Amino acid sequence: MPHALLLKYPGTNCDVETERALSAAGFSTQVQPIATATPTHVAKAQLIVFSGGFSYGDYVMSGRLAQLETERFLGDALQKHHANGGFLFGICNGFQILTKLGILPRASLILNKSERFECMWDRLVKVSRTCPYTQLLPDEFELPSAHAEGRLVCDPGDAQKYLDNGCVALQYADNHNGSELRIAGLQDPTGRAMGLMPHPERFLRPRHHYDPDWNGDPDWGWGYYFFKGAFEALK
Amino acid sequence: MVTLTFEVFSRFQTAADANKLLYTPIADQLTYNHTRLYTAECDGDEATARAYLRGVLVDPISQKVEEGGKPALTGELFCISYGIKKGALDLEKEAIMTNYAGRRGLSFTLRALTITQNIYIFGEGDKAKLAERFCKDVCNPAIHTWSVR
Repeated sequence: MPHALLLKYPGTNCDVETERALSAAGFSTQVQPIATATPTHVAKAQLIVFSGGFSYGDYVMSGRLAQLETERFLGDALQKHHANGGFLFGICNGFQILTKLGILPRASLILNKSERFECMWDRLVKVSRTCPYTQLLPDEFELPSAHAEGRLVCDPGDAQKYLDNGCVALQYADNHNGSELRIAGLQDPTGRAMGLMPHPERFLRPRHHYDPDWNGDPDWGWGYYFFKGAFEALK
Repeated sequence: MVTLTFEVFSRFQTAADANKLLYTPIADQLTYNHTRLYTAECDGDEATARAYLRGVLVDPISQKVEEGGKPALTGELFCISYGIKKGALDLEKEAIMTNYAGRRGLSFTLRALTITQNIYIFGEGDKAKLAERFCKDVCNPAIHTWSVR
């Protein structure tokens, strides 16, 4: 059974739902606070997960202190895990952390164009055809979003480069937060590392959908298939 | 001992309606921008201290930084600078200092760090009266100290 390590920081608040989603997909899961995490924990896992929340109160900028503390406690263990074929998955604040760690293509997630926290459902378009996390999903689907700092920005020209070379995993159909080229999720060139702003763990079951008559899938919400896709790729 | 300053602001920031800062709107057509000023007192290798703090405080993709003490923005009607008062807990400062304290082998000592929020108000009007109004709604006397320039 593939093993997942979920790293938890002060301010992480989606670890319970994310652990539940990982278990539903078939992973054995360990939730580990970063202050007690060691490279041994990383070495035992096939998938490292960074869940949503507001790590360290988003002080300085979202994900910055989590990045610094991860480097302090784990050194380059995550980079080694990635280089050796391991998977990494970042959701919302986890996406912000993965970009800061330099595991995903160079980008930054800044304050939404509205300069406010926004909580809504997003319609998403699948872009990458090589992403294991989205392999089991339809071309368009919806997930809930909840963030203040979700506007993806890049150095000039990089967003188009990411779109051209297959590093854009997902785009928004409606770009409410003002992200460059409507990018909602990025992956590394191998597809093993992925981050996205919307919350797949919050749409695990059909009853989690805002529409009580939603009939997209009789058993699972779309979010489940991110975790199941990773499981299928790793089993 | 050397004092290093970093006034950090978003390169994507545009001047916003200043009424957003107030509990009740005013008729004056004012806009605002905000920055964050970090002031660090360090001993030892200044270049390493500067590089470390830049790496912690500034996002090279989305932010710009003014170092050396000059205001990052100009042309304002007034600027409110406020921060956590002495004795109150500044969680952002504590988080940065904790990360610094956990690092080994750094060739400098970070003695103190002060974080100040700067609100630059642009437009025309009675500076003293408007500044008093904005300070009343932006600053919290229970936890903040502030000044206007």
